This record gives sequence, structure tokens and C-alpha cells, in this order.
Amino acid sequence: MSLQPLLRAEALVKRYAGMGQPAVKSFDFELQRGEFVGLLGPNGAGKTTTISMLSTLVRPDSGQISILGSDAIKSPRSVRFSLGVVPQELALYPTLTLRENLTFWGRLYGVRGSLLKQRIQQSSDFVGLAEVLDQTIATYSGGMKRRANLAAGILHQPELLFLDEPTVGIDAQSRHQILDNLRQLNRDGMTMVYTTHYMEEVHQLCSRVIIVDAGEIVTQGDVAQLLSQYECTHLEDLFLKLTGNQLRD
Amino acid sequence: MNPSANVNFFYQLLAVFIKELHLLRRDRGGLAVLFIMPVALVLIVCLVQDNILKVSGATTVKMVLVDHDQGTIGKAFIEQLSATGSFDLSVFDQEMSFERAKEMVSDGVWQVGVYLPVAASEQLKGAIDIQVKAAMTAKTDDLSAENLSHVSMGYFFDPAVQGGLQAGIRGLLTQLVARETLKLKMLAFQTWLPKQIERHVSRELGPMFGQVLAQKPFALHFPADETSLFQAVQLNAKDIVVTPTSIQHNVPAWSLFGIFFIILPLSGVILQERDQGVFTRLLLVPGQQFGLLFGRLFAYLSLNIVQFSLMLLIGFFILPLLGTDVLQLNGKGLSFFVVALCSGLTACGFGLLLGVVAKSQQQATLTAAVAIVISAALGGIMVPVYMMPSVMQSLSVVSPLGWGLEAFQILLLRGGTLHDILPQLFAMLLCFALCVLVSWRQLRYLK
Repeated sequence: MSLQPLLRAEALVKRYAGMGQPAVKSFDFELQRGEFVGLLGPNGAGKTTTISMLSTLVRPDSGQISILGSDAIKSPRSVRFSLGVVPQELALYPTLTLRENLTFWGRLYGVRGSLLKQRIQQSSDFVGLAEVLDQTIATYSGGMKRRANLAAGILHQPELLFLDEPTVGIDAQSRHQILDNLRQLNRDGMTMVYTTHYMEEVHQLCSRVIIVDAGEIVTQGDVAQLLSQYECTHLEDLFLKLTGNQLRD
Repeated sequence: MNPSANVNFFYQLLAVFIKELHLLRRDRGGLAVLFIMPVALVLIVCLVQDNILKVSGATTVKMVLVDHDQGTIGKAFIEQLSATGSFDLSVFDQEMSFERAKEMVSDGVWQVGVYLPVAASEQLKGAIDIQVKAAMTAKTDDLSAENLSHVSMGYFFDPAVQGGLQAGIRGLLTQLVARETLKLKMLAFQTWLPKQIERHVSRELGPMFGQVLAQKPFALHFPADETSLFQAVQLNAKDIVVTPTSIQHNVPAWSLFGIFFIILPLSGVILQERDQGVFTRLLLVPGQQFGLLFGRLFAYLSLNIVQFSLMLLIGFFILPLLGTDVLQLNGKGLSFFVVALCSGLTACGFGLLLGVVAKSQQQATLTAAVAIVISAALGGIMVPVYMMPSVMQSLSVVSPLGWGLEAFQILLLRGGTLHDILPQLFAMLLCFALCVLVSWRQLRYLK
């Protein structure tokens, strides 16, 4: 008996007005519970559009998305509680404290009372910001802001977490802590889809990698298996081999 | 209990409401725009315009009467001017010279001065006696310039007094002079007419008839002024109890102006959310998006109501301490708050629209400030609509601030009720609905 995937996407297509080519063409994808999938691609390959469709932010022009057995296109609101998103931008209010931010986002997800207090403490402890919970986000360093962003994304304990380049522009220490946090969350059972331009992060974290270019999946599979298949020693070599050396501006 | 079961409209609305209050609490610039600016404006403009209204005659006029006559005319003038209730009258006799009085009026100590020269009453009475006797005896030679002394009463204005007020006072003084002249003529007739009849009867019918008349003299009794049969009485179209003063106009007007400045922090927060990715996270929240929208609206509307209440309190307590009239709501307090609420909704709708349409904070701030000032100017906040050229009056109907101000004026000055301001309320609610609709469509596009 085969397990029902946590997420199944079939033949997803998305075309933006005024663009010649679709941003995503016939994207098929399955995600099992507990997986940590890296989504790689050059700029403009369609990663953000893909994540936006999978997280119900953007409606595809055609195709099907099923999350936990529910049709995520017809009734996106029914599946959103199970999803978490850590966007590339700092999706927090800079003039509010971390506690106020987390309280707000927790309440929007229906977490309240003592459970909310407990979750705020847990998530801030988890990202190492418990000591500065009552400082405004504006006073945080770049790395602290990224960790705060992660805390807001996991506060309601989603089953599936989408992370869009969560370590861009931060120091090695903060990046190291975020990667550790993600690894721990995955070990605890959270399924993750991760986009980044840092190949070594994907190598360290992901059980599976999907490389996309020009809106299509170029290849996908276990990192070691793909390296062997394409006779590459590093993921970056594999990436360049499949997507080419030309600049993508 | 699974938290997802708690995701509902009211809980999300409350979450957004509290979050918006936290954001506003930390937005010192926004709070200054919402509270300090309108308070400063209402204080300054009320005090400035209070003086303007004084020189235009909308309040008590300061008058000096220099009565060198000390006769009946002065007494009658004092009595009648005091009875109007429109004058703060200072009366001087010989202690104040005509020249000194003119100088002091020119300096603005009083707004108008009236001068009664020495023996004016006596000269007028004498001239009228001559006129009346001449009329009864047909001796027109008596009416020569040598016999008739023309009496003049002088009046002079502070140069700052506006033309309309000058004309009004001129008319009143002319009327007082005419009334006094008529009164003296009646008295002259009362004195001379019976004597003339007696003389006429004796001459035409013989001395016997004259003696009879002398035993039962003919007497004329004219009614006093108070029993005038024909009077001009000012009537009000409705039950109006409030005089249009600087306070009655400016407190509601500048409160509206302040209410519309809610556009700045509201559009600012939305733009901040768009810039910093919060918007993306908000769009992914489970449940209906209406909770997020209405939570935000309630927060800003609450602020508007606090702001409006503060402005009314200034009108009730602070401005009177500075020498102005007290704000009177004419028993329409609740209706006032309904107008404030609808104005707040219109402002919030526009703030929402600007927040989703504008491309940057600078663009939103500039657009909001320009739109509010133009709308205020067109709506009669600065200069009453009826004083504008007809073209501008036609344009003023598109000003949301104008709708609010008109509603306040209907309630306050024209004795209107909520029913009477339904068109204005409807216009404001329609404007709000249109702004929300366009914003919603734009949000879908942004998504």
C-alpha cells in the first residue's frame, strides 16, 4: 500500500500578463511527509512562482494541487493552517517587539491563551531570541531578523514549511544556527521545501533536490544519486552543467 | 484543542485591532499628525477667526457714545442700542472729546463711535416745533434756513471694520435718528394740534365755541413705541438655537481635517507591509481576509473617534478659557459622532486605497497631503462654500470633507436631524465602499 503524499502537484502552469513564456510550465511534483526538498534554479527559473503556487499564494492557470488530500486550488483556506511560509523578505513589523509580532501571527492562526504564550517561548528559544523577545525588531541585527522570521513561520507548528532563501545576507553564525534549527525541525517531523542559491546548504540539509530552469524541472532526486548520475563532485558543478553558464539577469 | 478550530473572523479581527494599536502607539509622527496638528490648528484658527468675526460683526460690537448733548436723544440712543444686545456700549460725556474718541476708534479701542454735539436734543426739538407749527399755519417763511437749525450726529468706524458691518451700523443709526425725529414730531403735534384746533374753531364759529373747547380741551395721545403695530421680527426657518460663531464653524471643520489625516498612517502601514513581505504572510493566513480588513478599519476608526472627542473637549473647555465662546452641540452629540464615524470611514477607505495603489511612502504621503488640503479648501473648511465663486461652489460637491462639514452645519446651524443629513452620510459611505472595492481588486492584482 502506497502512502498518500503530503503534497501532490500535477501539470502546474502559470503565465504572467505581458510575459512571452510561462513562468512555470507543466510542473509535476510529489512531497512525502518528513521530506526536506531543495528547490534550485537560476534567477527567473520559476522557483518563487512554484513556491507561491504550492503555498496557495498564487493560483495556477491550470493544473492540480492537493495538500493533505484537500484540493488546495479550490479551497486554499482549508489547507493554510497546515502550511508555514518563511519569505525571503523580513515579514515582520519592525516597530513591534518580537513578542508582539509572534502574538499577532499566532492569534491569526487561532493560537491563543496559555498555548500562545507557550508557543512564543518555545519558538523564540528555538531560534535563540528568547532574551530579546521584548525588543523591537528594528533593533535586531540582520541575522536576528532572519531567525525571528523563522520563529514567526513555525509558531503555529505547520506540517509543511516553505522557505524562500531564508539565509540571504546574514553572517556565518546566524546561518549556521538557522540551518541547525531547520535540521531539528525536520527531524521532529516537519516537511520542508527550501529554495536557495547556496548549494552547500542544500547538500547539507536536503534529502532530495529539484533543479528547475525556464519554468520546467530539469532533474530531481537524491543529491548523492544525482551527483553520481551526472558524474559531478559538487552540487554546484551539477547545477551549472544542467542550467548552463550564461548569466541570468 | 486544535488551534485551527479557533481561526475565526472575530478572533482575527481582534488580533489585527490590537496589532494596529501597537503600531500606532509606536508611530510618533503619525500620532503627532493625528492629534497635535488638528489640536494646534483648531486652537489657532478659532482664536484668529474669533477676532475676524468680531470685526465682521458676528459677535458683540464695541461702540463708544460721546454724549456732549446730555439730552433726550442720548438717553434714547443708549436705551435702544442696549436693547439690541449687539453692542458693548461705552458712554462718555464732556470728559471725552470728539477728537480723542475718533483717535481711539481709529486705534481699534472701539469699532464704532457716535458723537452727539452740545444741545443737539434742544436744537432738534426746536427745529421740529417750527416745522410742525409752520405745517399747521402754512407759514412757510418760518422754514427758512435761519430759523431751522439742522442737527447732525456724527459716527465713525475703526478702519478694520468690514463693509458689511459698517453698512449695518449705518442703517441702524439712520433708523434711530428717524425714530427719534418721528417721536419729537408726534410730541410737537400732541402739543400744537389741540391749540391750533381751538384757535381755528374760535375764529370760524365764534369765541363761545372756543370757550367750550377751552373747558374740555382736545387731547392727542399717541401710543408708545413698544406698542408698534408693524414690526420687523427675525424668524428662524427651524429650531435654531446656536449662533454661527468661529467655534461652531472651526471645531467641527478642523476636526474633519484631522480625521482625514488618518490616511497617512494607514496607507503608511500598508505600504510597509507591502515592502517588507508582511503582506505575503497576511495573504497566507487561514480564514477570511475580511477579519484582517475590518480589524484594521476598527482600529483606525477608534482612533478617529478618540481624536474627534478630544477636539470637542477643546471646544467645550479649552477654547472658552482662551476667551472664545463655548462649543454648543445643540443636543445633537450622537448625530455628530455618526458624521465623524462616516467621515472616518471615508478617510480609512481612501487610506486603504492609497496603501495598495501607491508605489512608495513618499508618493502616498504627498498624494494624501495634497488631496486632503484640496478637499478641505473645496469643502469649505478654510473659506465657507457660499463665499466661493460659482465654479468653485460646483466643484465643492465632490469634496468628502465638504460632505462632512455640510452635515455638521445642517445639524448645528440649521436645526437638522440625522434624517436631514442622510444624503451626506450616504455619499460618504458610498465613497468608502468604492475605495474598498477598488482596493480589493488591486489587492487581488498585487497577489
